[in-house]
Amino acid sequence: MIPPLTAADKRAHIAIAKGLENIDPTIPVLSEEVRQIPYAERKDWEQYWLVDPLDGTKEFIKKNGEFTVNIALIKGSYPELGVIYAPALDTFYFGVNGKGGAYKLNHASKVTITSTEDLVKQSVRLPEVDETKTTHVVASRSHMSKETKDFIHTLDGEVKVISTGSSLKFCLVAEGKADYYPRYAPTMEWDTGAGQAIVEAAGGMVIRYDDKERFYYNREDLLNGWFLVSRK
Amino acid sequence: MNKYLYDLFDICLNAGKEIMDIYNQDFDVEFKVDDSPVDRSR
Repeated sequence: MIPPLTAADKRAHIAIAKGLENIDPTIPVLSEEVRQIPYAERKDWEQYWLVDPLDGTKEFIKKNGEFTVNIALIKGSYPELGVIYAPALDTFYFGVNGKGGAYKLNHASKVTITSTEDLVKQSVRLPEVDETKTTHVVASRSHMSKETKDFIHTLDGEVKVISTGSSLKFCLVAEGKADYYPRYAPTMEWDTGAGQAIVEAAGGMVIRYDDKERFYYNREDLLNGWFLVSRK
Repeated sequence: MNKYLYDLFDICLNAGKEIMDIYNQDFDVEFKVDDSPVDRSR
């Protein structure tokens, strides 16, 4: 018998692969489920879909609902568009870089949506929460490293740590519910592409820890370096 | 707005349904967190 997590991952992957193929069969897909595409083949891609069919495996197993479906469109080396759907919470986030903006749709599966314009119209523009005197830092329950604690100690004033699972951490920053998300632990490209698109479309930034440059994609090594997500 | 958005919305809902089909079943899995260093040699 296939373990439930594997079965859910595979079924989601198949649904996404079929859908993306229908949109445009010429755009390649790099997914956690199809990770073995050699760099020699993908290094010349002008654009590609970056997919994590089920982000938040621990959350799925723990049954806390904080897992997501992530899809990003990477153009050049940067995310152009990102969508994150949390099926158990039934919340859909999307962001388009440039002048597109970032949005959140609650009760996504219950709302009748007929077009992209309708989707935007029925969604809430992000950030939805104004800045407060307290600095909110989102940190993973399972990845609170010494460096993360050190980062928190550099912040002035009152600091509150908030937690959630998977790419929902990016969404907290995009929503304005968190000011920072330091991720000083390993992730893969498909864990971050969609989240970065949404945070950037909401006016935030995702910066590499090493050189403070904007986070980029389609590297030879798909393992991400450390990064900091910030609201501004 | 990006021309793919509406299709991506649909795709996400479909993928979400597939996941929730499994998620809503009764399952109990022993889950071990792997904190070992990531192998960069691959």
